[in-house]
Amino acid sequence: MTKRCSHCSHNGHNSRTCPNRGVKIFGVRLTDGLIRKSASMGNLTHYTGSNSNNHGSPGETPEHDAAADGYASEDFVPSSSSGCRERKKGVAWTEEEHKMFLLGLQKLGKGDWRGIARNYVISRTPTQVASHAQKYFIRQSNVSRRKRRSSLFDMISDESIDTLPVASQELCPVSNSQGGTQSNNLLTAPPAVEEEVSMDSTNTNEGEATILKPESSHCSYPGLNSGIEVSITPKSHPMGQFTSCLVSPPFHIRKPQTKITSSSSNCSHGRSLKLTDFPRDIIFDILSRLPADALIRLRIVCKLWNNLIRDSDFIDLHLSKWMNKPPSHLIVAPYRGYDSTGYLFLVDGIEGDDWSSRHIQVDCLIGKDLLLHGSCNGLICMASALKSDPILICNPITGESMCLSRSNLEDEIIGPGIVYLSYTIGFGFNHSTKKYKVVRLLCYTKNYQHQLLGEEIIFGESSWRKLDIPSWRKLDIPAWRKLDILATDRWYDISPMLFLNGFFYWIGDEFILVFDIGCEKFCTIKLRFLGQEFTPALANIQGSLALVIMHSASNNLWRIVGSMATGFSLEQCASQESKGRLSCEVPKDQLRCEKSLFIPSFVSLNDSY
Amino acid sequence: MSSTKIFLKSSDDKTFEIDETAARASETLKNIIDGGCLDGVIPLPNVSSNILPKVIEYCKKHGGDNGSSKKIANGGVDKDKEILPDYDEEEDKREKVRVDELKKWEEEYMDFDQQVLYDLMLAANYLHIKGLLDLTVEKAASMIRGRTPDQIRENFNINSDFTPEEEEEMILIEDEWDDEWAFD
Repeated sequence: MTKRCSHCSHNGHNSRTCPNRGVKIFGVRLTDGLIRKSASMGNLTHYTGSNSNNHGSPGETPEHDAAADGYASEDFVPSSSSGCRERKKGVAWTEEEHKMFLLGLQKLGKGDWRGIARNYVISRTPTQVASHAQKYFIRQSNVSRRKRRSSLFDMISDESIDTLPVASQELCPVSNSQGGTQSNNLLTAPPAVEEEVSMDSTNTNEGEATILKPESSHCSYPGLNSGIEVSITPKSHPMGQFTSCLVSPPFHIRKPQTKITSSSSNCSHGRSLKLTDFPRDIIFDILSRLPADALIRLRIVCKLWNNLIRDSDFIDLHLSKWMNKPPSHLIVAPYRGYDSTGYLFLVDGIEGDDWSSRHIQVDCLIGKDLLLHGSCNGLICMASALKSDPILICNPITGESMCLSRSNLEDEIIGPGIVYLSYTIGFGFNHSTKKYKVVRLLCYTKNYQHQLLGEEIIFGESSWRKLDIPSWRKLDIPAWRKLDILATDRWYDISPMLFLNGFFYWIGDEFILVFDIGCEKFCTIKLRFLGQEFTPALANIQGSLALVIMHSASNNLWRIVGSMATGFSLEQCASQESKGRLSCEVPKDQLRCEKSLFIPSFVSLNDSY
Repeated sequence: MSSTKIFLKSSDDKTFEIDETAARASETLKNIIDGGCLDGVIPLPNVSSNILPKVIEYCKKHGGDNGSSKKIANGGVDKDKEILPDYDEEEDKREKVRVDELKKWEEEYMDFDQQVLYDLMLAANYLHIKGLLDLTVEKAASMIRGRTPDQIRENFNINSDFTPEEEEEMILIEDEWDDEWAFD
């Protein structure tokens, strides 16, 4: 479906994405120049266009190729797992498919996308059905609001016409069913009570426009009343009499299946309690149960919700709730060719080899080849693959980003005799000071000796500080490595740093370097048993540090136990445990991606100073 | 088990009785009882006679068993099944049956319409019944999950207070997100 822009009358985009108007993303208006120059900006435009490709006809869009290109990135990442679902082929739904979808929807109901895909629209995956359903419902709910071209989605089943305004039905139960419920399940109410109820109704009708405040909540549910209440007021009955008058088991008159509905005849939107009138605590509680990436789309609901996700109390509450859940696995889309798409993938379900992921486009990452170095409280730390400066910190959910100050450490050491240079970055949060810290290790070789330099910066500070790394720094390179060094370029891949429970860990050839984020002290754990045939990596296994030894045949997980005082030892993790871990949180071939375990949050970079 | 009866008076002057043990499920009532301020009837000006029986029903189920109600509440909320290795299988099994039974009860208990949900939520908040608050809040959250902003506005009777221009700008943000989220 081709969109015609109401702003510049060109096809292929709409007024919101019109390059002549300038685009505002995450509250920042991009200038015209930036849009024209940035190649990836085009992707964004196509992205909007390609959205419609899914339900329109792809051939109509002039930039179709480019649009499909923009989508291709998604296929890239899951390619590491063989059994991943294929999606985003961009083949439009046929009328037949849509009809079957409607039938399935009618028979199986909203939500059973798996069932619909399996039994009705067998040519589509459950995800595709869900996506189709979503568009269908959006289309239905928008039908009056925006005038649109006709599309497949306008074809609805008879049933769904009745059931679609679900919301209003939930709010205003149909009086017929209400009558049935009453007569079936409730005891006959005394006439006096009935009268009282109808008086209530009249009153509420008069005050229809007034919103009931929680304090004066006085909604009447006549059906419920008549069955359960003890219609004695203490005023007219002295205490002694009162006790004896109590109807004995008044609470089980209502059968469990009875659906309590609010009073039928006088229910209207105007008189009902509004969610927005609720105490802040309750609204916070409700909304903090929603994942950040879903919630951010709901900012548009009203100003209150929009402001909420900037509220530091809410941010903290949300984060604390989601900290206890298994984190999502975040993958930065690798760049394709010369251009980076700025896509991130949130992998939020891994079943066997099957992933379910969502991708999000992060504006500040477009056009940059960045590697993910760490993730903490929903913030991610990235740097170029080729240079350790600058380091970009960003919250992909809110789109906020900032660059850390540059360091000149690298320039200092570059000189004659340097064979290669490589760096690793650790990103952590100090719970006692509530500050984020970035630690960088530079590893280089001078005259066949390993050299290691370290520096750190705390968010809000303007410059890096050098760290005092313990004395093993001049370590001879084993002979077998010397060949490697000669063979490799200046850059050499060293293992990533892991941040866990207040410590940064980095594994060198025969040791693990530990750095305490609080007291800023280093210590080392020696590893004697390692031979050259192993490639060890560090991993976070259910909150404790573990060593992954990657054989060609299998992965072995060893938990590192002990303390500085007693010494450390290795304990092999139970196979069950490691298996669960591998399949639940880290895909097998991504074991080194501990840094990308990510908790989507609203944590703001401004607050972290 | 017989225990002291306590009388609660709803906002519209109707009185209900509840066992003391059951009433202790409510932090607010517990404080009143322990504070010795129990003087016949406890007035609850924020809870109407429509909702109070429902609250009492919950307290009866969970009364005198604060720990378990908390556990259940968490179990109900936390759908991500992170089952910690439990070595006592027998105990585990019994616990599981109990949890299943309670879940079923909760499912039936929670079958009501939105207005009741609101009132119940406020009552639970006022009476500090953590488990009930958790249940109701989770239900409200589940009504938001996977819905579009338009559906939510309609469902929760929220009027957008954005100007059309503001809204247009915000929709742009919305467009940037992939649409996989409908898949629950």
